[in-house]
Amino acid sequence: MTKVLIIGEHRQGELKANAGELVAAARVLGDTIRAAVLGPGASQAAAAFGAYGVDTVRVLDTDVAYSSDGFAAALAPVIAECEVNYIVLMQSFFGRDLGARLAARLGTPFINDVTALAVEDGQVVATKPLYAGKVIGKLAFTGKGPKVITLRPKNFTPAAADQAATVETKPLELPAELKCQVTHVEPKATGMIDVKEADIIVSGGRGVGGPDGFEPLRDFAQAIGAALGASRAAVDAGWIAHSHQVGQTGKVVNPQLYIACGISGAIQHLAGMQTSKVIVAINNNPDAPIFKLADYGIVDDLFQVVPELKKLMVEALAG
Amino acid sequence: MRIVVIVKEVADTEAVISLKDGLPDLSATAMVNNPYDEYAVEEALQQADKLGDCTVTAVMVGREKSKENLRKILAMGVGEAVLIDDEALAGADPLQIAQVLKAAIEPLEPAFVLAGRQGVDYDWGLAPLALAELLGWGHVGLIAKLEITGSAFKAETEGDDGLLTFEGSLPAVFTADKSLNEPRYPSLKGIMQAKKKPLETKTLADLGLDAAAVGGAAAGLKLINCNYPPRKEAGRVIAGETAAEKAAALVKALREEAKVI
Ligand SMILES: Cc1cc2nc3c(=O)[nH]c(=O)nc-3n(C[C@H](O)[C@H](O)[C@H](O)COP(=O)(O)OP(=O)(O)OC[C@H]3O[C@@H](n4cnc5c(N)ncnc54)[C@H](O)[C@@H]3O)c2cc1C
Ligand SMILES: Nc1ncnc2c1ncn2[C@@H]1O[C@H](COP(=O)(O)O)[C@@H](O)[C@H]1O
Repeated sequence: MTKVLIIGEHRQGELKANAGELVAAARVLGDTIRAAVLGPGASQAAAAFGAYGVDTVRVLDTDVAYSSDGFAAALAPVIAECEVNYIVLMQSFFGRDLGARLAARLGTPFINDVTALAVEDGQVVATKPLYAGKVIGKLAFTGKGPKVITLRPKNFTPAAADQAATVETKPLELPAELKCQVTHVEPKATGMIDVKEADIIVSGGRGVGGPDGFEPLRDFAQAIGAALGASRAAVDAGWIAHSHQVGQTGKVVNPQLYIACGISGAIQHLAGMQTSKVIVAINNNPDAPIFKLADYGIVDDLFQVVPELKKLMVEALAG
Repeated sequence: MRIVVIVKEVADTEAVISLKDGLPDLSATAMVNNPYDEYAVEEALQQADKLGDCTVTAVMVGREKSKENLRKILAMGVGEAVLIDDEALAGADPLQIAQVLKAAIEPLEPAFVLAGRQGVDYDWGLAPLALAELLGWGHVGLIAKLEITGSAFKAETEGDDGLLTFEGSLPAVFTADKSLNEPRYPSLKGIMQAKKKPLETKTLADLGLDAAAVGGAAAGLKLINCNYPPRKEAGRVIAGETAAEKAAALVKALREEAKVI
């Protein structure tokens, strides 16, 4: 029997929808699925696991928003006691940080940012993009002990939340001394969609010409519910915050639609967005390398095209 | 007081990755210092300036030819460097690298360690966190801001649902995100001075480590094979006289052909 522990994520007690992705991955790996939820509001979030058919949830309900050493220490004994074979988390800030710390604590192997899982000849094979997606690797665990895996968001079809298991919760305990902990959380400004979560990204590069050049793009993005992305050239020029950067040293994104405006298409940028389902490039230079990858190209001034596109897409999305 | 910054070499981000027998072959690839590690180096230098009377030591697990890149770190202003070079480490996993780093760093008794958020090769982001765990220290990943006051620290990070402020006590490990600072370029003077700065090389035996335990042969992971992602074909350029016409034709295509809106 293969046992899988999934670590759910929640926002103040509300279990995040990515729990469905964790459950889907766990079902590939094993037959017994347990969950854990940690942080303020964890007990409340735990109940929502019942809908996924998970009947036992370990809960660390604490005022401490996050402590990597503390949370890893709270989980480690249970993992040993229950002889868990796999631990699955999301590749989010929380998941990658806690997953790595936990793997180190257990002294067991860790494969992060996994896009697919399969069992081949009795061996778990994890697919993971390497070199920012320039190549795709298949990796196997060779070491003993529980293995830690984090999932790249939106790569596993979420399991349905349509079951009716009653959840039994069992408490976890924080160690008395924490080496480091979160003491303040400044919530994100509302209305801003992160590029990693967006279905549509409108992205701007050096071609927007300056900080004001992002205004029509921001307008367009807001009108169609898209996130605003940027090339490193635009970020390094100080025109837009780093959190918007797409690419090898920014965020790797995977939207349905990526609209690159005034971006030439350097290899480091392409590495971050080449798996987008549909790529549109708007660039006034017909020889820009981005056109080699774009499904649809418009050779024109972005400031002429973007307002028109905004008007028509708003209509199309409404109709 | 000492600050340690850990630096790894990675393939140049411009490089196309060659595959040989289904595995990456970097034998002809230009290697650079991991871009994120440059933010860690810059932070170490700035913190050293603020704290005063502080030595910054760079530590790298690499090969003989990595010395060239380590010299670049010294040219930025780092005082001294240690290279751990041992054949047995080929194919070591990040947990093993962390064990090696621990053995090299613990005797240096640093106030804290700075690292990059992840190597832009396998994107593990694991070695520094594992180092913290092995040393029994706290860590903060992906920092955007760091304040050291005596033996306490405060660090800020962009979390999943907002900006997180972490507090804790030193020693600790911090991993640098790009928003932390702007790495300096080495000056000509820095480059000249770097040639004379101490750069010590050590083997696993020098660190009292057993190659059978921390070497690649005992790695907990295996790369089975690699493939290139399916190549995206160039699509088509949208025809039209005016920007408005092109925009209209694009929206029609997105709707009727691509079916994404
Ligand atoms: C270590 C390292 C890591 C890197 N990581 C990243 C990364 O993560 N992400 C990233 O993006 N880059 C990254 N880069 C930088 C990358 O190499 C390029 O320099 C950068 O992507 C270029 O940005 P750009 O396309 O906006 O600018 P440019 O290459 O200058 O392109 C601007 C484009 O805008 C077009 N243009 C100008 N005016 C208009 C107009 N009015 N209308 C329409 N089009 C117009 C031009 O024709 C041109 O094609 C990295 C580089 C290094 C060395
Ligand atoms: N071989 C190494 N030598 C020194 N530092 C390393 C090494 N490997 C990883 N690091 C550090 O750990 C960070 C994360 O690397 P990784 O865990 O490999 O993604 C890097 O940015 C470096 O700061």
